[in-house]
Amino acid sequence: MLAGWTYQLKQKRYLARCQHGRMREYLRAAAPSRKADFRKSCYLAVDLEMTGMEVDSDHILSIGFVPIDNMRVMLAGARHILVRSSLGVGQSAVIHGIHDRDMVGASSLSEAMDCLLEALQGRVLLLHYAALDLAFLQEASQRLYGVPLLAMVVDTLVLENQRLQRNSTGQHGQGLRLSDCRRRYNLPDYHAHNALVDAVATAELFLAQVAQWFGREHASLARIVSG
Amino acid sequence: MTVSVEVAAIREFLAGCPPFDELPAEMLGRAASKVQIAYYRAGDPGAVLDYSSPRLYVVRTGAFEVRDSEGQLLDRVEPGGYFGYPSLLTGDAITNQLTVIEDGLVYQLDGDLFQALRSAFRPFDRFFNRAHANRLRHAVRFREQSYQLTRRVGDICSRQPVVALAGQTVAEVAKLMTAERVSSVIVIDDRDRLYGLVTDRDLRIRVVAEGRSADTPLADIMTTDLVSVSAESLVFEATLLMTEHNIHHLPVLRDGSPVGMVTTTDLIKAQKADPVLLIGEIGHQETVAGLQRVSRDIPELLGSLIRAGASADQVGRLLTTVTDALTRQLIHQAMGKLGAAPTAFAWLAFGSQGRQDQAAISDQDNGLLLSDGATGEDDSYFKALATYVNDGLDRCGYKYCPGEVMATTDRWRQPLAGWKKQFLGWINQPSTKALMHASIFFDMRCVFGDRVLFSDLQQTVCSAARGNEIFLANLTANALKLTPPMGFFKHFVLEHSGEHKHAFDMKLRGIMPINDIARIHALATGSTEIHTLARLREAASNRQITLKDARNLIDAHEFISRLRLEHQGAMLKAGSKPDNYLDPKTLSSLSRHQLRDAFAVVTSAQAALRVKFTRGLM
Repeated sequence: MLAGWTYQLKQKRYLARCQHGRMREYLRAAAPSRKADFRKSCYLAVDLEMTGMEVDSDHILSIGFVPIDNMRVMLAGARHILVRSSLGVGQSAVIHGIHDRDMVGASSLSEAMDCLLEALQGRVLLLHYAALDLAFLQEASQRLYGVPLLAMVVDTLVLENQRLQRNSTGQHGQGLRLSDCRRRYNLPDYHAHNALVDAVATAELFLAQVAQWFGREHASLARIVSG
Repeated sequence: MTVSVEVAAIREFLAGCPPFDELPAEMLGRAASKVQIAYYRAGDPGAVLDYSSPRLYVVRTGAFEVRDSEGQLLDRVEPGGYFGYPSLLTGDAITNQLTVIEDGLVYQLDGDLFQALRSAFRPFDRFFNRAHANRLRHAVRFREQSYQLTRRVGDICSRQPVVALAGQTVAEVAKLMTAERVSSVIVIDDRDRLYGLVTDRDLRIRVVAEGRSADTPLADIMTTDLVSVSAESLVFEATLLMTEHNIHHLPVLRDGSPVGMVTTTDLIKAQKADPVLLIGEIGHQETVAGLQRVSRDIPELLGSLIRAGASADQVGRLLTTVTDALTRQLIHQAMGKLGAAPTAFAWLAFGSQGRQDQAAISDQDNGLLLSDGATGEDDSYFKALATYVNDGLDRCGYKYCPGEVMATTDRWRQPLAGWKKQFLGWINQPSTKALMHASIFFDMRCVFGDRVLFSDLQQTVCSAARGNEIFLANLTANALKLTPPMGFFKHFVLEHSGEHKHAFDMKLRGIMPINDIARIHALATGSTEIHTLARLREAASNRQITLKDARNLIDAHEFISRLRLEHQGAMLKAGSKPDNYLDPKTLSSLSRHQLRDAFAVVTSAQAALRVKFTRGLM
């Protein structure tokens, strides 16, 4: 776990190293309070579509995000950004339905990341299976801004896994995919898959998880962040 | 700068919810892109409504109840339903309360957007105004019902009590009772206080049967160990007391002095519309004649339900509950006479009784399912039982089935293996002709008896029917023969001659086609659901039909059924025999318009059914 003081330390270190205006502004913003009730924080649910799973050889194809304010998903702040890639879309088109022809008018990775940083400023980053998406975001941040992406992360997959472990009454092998988790909370099936729909789906899952876990009971942000 | 984008899944959902379905595409997109989403947990008190900023709430999943500030239930909201609009329409502060019955997601639109949609698009405005009016009407109805519960004993015993003194003779008091036409008198002491009670029954048992003289003083025969009730007590408390002590007369006191008498008859009169009492009465009848007498109250029950504004669905369920109770009591009576059944069995109801949507006139549709061990000797027992029940139902107003679908018919009184063979024959070697009269059998329900036996049969039928394309195609071909009575130019097609000239059959041309559609969808997935509206809801949640189509069909079913009920209610009131024939000219122009809409829904659902189930096969 990344304690509050290490976060601030890194904030200072990265600021010293980074000359990029957009990232500097992002780093200067106050971080969400770890001690305060998690309902007081704002979140940004994010999902990426990539050409594959390998950070070294694959690329981000699109970024979808949607903010959560006052524990409400705000669709008015949702964005879906297609990212130009030097590789074609290739085989992955089968999965997420993005074809080369859709990429006309797409943004460069740097435009897309600037846009994400602006939206993420002062918010907790909310992901489902953070490890994968975060690796791509870190790689892009390092390359574009010369520093890693500094963010407090809540991972709905980790939250779900904790819950299943805690109530493990022989319920092994329960799926942890986004759609499996959503089904357990009786959330609707969304059929079309793109980065934005999955970001919204992740945001809804998060609301359902914390409502069922905590109800109205006080809980600090530190209890749910995973790093 | 953030440009809002649409999330297709949310837009699609809204597009299935009237009145959003009628918004122009651009407006719908704007609304969908501004949605806010929240999740509420069941039992979390006061969590939902944001009192400071009124907004429109659209339920995506879960179930919610709206109550007024006094806790009266106003509305129950399920997926696709709304709350929060009254204060948006009136500008008044929110006073209603919301309870989360089942966890769920709720979409929210802020007040400004709601007002913008209202002023830009008239049908949107009209929809919510109508919803608001409906809810107010419901509120009034709920209040009337609760009035029944909060009535006090003093309100229902209007007359002064008939009283006597302990020194008066049996002969004197018998004359008094006859003159006053009462079945009991209250005996008072010299300070007007309650002292004892004498009833008809006391005169019979303690005087006549014991051979006492007519000069016997009341003091010798009266009951002194009395249960009484205060005039301030609630009517239902009196009901409970009488049931608990198994008594039929209850003196009513105010400050210790008798002010009246409540009898079982008073209670029944006070709550004539109460199906619970009617069913309770049925359970006490030891003879067919008794049941026949009780079932004379059914038209009154129907009339008061219609007047109280109950939905056709509620009325259907209540009337069926009464039929079920009559059937069970007849079976109990028969078993009392014939002895215990020699083997396990289940009494089956088919058709409208099976679907729980009976109306004022119902024929019998029933059968007997016997355990596979039943012998020929056993069958003669069951034949006798079936005869008793079928005859009894006929005397209670449920006419013999013209097609002889009754337990007395040998073919419809069979061991499990026989029933399975019958059903598998329909399903596996279907022909349009063989299935013509068979559809009612697929709406079967166990009314009495061995549920394991019944569910064995049901499981066999459901799994054989599931996904069976040829069977479903034949069923569909039959269903499509009954079409709504609408001509090419949107005029009603009516009977040209005969008794029902200028009218059409609401059941045959309106309600049955919807029942057929619902049944085919249920059988296609092997569902055990039998109630038409439940089948349609299930078909929507399985994505066999869209949520919008399901809602439209449910509304059409309710509308046509409600018209039929009102028609039958009016006929009963006029003392004529109720039927299903409606002359559209007798309707208001609004109702005629709605009826056309309802029929259009049925026609388009039939077209969809044809495409889905008969492609290339018929």
